[in-house]
Amino acid sequence: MAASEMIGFEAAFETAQKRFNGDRPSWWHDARRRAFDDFRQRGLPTRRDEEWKYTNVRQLGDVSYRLPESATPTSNLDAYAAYRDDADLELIFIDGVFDAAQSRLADLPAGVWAGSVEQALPGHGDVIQQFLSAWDGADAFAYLNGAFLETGAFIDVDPNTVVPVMIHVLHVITDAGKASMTSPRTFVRVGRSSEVRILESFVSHSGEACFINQISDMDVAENAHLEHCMVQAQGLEATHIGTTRVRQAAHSHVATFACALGAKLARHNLRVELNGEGTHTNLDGLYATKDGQHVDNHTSIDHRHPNSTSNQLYKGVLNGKSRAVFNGKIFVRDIAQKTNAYQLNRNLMLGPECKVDTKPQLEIFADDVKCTHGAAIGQLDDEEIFYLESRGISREHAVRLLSHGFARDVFERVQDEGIRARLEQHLAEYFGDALA
Amino acid sequence: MPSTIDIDSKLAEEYRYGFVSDIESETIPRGLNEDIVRMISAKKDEPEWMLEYRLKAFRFWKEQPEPTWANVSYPPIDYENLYYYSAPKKNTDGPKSLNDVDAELLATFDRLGVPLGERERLAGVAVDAVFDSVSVATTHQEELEKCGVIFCSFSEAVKNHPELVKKYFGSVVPYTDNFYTALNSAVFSDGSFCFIPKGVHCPLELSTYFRINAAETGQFERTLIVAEDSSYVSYLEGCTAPMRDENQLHAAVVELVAFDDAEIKYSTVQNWYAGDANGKGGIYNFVTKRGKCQGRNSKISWTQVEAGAAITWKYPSVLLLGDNSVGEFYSVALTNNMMQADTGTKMIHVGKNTSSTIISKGISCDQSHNSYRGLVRVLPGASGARNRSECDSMLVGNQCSANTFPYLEVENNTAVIEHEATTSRISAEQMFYLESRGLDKEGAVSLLVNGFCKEVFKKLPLEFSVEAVKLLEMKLEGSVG
Repeated sequence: MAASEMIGFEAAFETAQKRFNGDRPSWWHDARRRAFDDFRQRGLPTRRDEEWKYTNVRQLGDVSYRLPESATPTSNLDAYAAYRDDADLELIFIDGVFDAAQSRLADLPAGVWAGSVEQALPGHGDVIQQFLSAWDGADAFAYLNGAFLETGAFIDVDPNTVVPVMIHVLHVITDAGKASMTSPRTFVRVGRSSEVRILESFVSHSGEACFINQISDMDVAENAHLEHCMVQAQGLEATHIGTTRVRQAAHSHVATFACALGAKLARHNLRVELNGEGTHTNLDGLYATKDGQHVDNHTSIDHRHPNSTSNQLYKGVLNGKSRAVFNGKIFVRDIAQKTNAYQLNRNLMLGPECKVDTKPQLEIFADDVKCTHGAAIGQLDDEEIFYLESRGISREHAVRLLSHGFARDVFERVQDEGIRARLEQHLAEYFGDALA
Repeated sequence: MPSTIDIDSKLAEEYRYGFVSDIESETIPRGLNEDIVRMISAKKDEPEWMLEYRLKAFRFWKEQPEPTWANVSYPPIDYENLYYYSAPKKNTDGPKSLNDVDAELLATFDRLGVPLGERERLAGVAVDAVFDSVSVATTHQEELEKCGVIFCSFSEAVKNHPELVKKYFGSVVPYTDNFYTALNSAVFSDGSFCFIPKGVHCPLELSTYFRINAAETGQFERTLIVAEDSSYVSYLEGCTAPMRDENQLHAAVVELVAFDDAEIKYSTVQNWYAGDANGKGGIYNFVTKRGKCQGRNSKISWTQVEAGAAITWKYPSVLLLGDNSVGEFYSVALTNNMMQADTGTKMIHVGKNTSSTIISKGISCDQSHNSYRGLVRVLPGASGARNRSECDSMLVGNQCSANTFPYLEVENNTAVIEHEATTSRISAEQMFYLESRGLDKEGAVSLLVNGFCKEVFKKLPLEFSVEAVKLLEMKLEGSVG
């Protein structure tokens, strides 16, 4: 393992800029420079910022970060076998570096292009450039990702193509990723009337502190269908900041799922922009926390055109001394008549010192709409626990079974069986027993 | 739906409280500085400790930035260019009885429909009327005194019951609370003071009527209600102001304290002038209202009908300190024309087995903005806390907005918290159904709106309930079609 420098954001950026001298197009460097300037200007958000009211990220500025290595680290993926399937197309990243050898991209179905960003640059540079300029930052972490962006996945689906297999983007952080900052970005373009299912997994068994600042940008054309799932099962010392941005054209269907089980500090931003009428969107999620974890989900959906529907369910299970934050925004613009938007956040508080801050939010400017949101915070039903105990199940086991059931219920909304199976696997591991 | 209503004529009659009374008043110079604060205090003949409090608040206020987080926008307020005190000129040392009150003033209250004159009063309502900055008359004093209830203007309370005022004033809303409470604490003019002694069920509904009459004045009322153990009081307030082109400022502070087993029911019908259809003029209503459930099993209930003011910034709150205490918030907020309302509540659960209920109904018409902003906080020690919140919005027209910003912050794992919000509109089917049965358009809308708000209206005392329904009907005229 080559020695990388331990440095703060400023110094890290200088190093990062020098790395690809001559290797990448000049617009790439310009975009990174711009992003860093924007980040420097803005700085890390503080708790005075309404979007970060409940989540403190100041400490991220005090750390010296190592950047990903230049060469692919060697890594054995046996420990993650349960989350993989031979039938999937796979893009594998180890400690922020693309692992071409272990990825499975040999037999790309017709109409699909998938590969790492560096593989995509020669042939699809213009598309990436478009993504980088049109999907400009807006928040500090998006700028920070843009400044340190080196690699990631690029998936391009031609019009009128149904991708027969699931595409799995797997990011693994190993013990060697200690004190590193990785900034991958996934670019997805789904052509007109096409259909694709994508799973992005961020997994780690490492107990080392590290910082993952990741973005997934998805451009979904007219009448296309996308199912996207993000599973975050980082090590319990990690900081994971994730941003998923979706743009939907008319009559497209998108289902997103965000599952957060790991990391000491996790934040996921989901932004959906509806750029045409007649769209349908599902925004679902699950988070489960244990001692010392802090998980924050911020979602927003912007209804800008008539006749669209959105449906959102986020559930959380809190154990030990942990904290969960949820903020869901629904905007309905004045022309977005006949919008039907639904949002629900349910939290199960089990730990004696856990804390929930939830803020569902509606901003409605059109009158002929149906918008509903709800939030609930509560406990398990004593009667249900008693029922199980009376049948010889210990109280502890009963609580585990019931909370597992509470959480698993959201998976019903996942269409793709492959994605659902992987989610169930993660959850079973999390709760330490399978619900057979 | 085509409208056959002559909107212009409706608009002209829309705000029937928009008259100005020609009453001689004495004001002090424009502006805000320590001398003005001293002058207000001197005018009111206040003791030294009150002046000190005002000055402390003023010095704090000067350091404070104006809050900008609310979902409202307005041009900057020039605090230096307002009159901070205006009082109807007194004939002698002040009205000794109703007969001494300026006849013009009585006529004004007559027009407003305030049951001030004995002849016209609705039985069982004791009224304290506050005109601009001073309290002009308090009725039913004797009857209240018999059972030990103190109900008088705040200035009188400072003179006659300084020990009570000293004990509770600022104990729920300290001057440091926010920008507007600091301003109010420095220049507050008058308001009501109620004290319900132990075990007394107040025999009358207490009522205060606020009116801003003089131009370019701010009204800074201050109300304090204390309910001792096992007592009960129902308090009502109403407010109006003349139609003027400039914006006027109203920054009130209301404090409630309820001890063991006591209950305070506080109802408001707010109908400050809201400006014309183009958003010109109207009252800026920046109000801090907070109740403290100090004792076990105490209960504080806020009911409000917010139908006026160009801008409303108001969050009546309850601190649930006593075990088993109960907080309630029932609200109807109607905005039309260019009005902006950012209103809601805060329920802070501190004691054990505390419960709170929030029912909020927002109706937005024309180009108005209506936001619900609420906080439910359960502190770590507040085991067994229970909250239910329901926020429903109705939109009339597609240039208005309805927003919901609920904050739920829970730190105890025995809490059960539920929040629900919906947004809808009056459907064409509902209208058709009612119209086909012979109701005219406005009758139909008014019926539907009343149904929408029923849960809140039934919490209001009877006379207020009738007034509130009329008020909404009047406001909705011309907005529907």
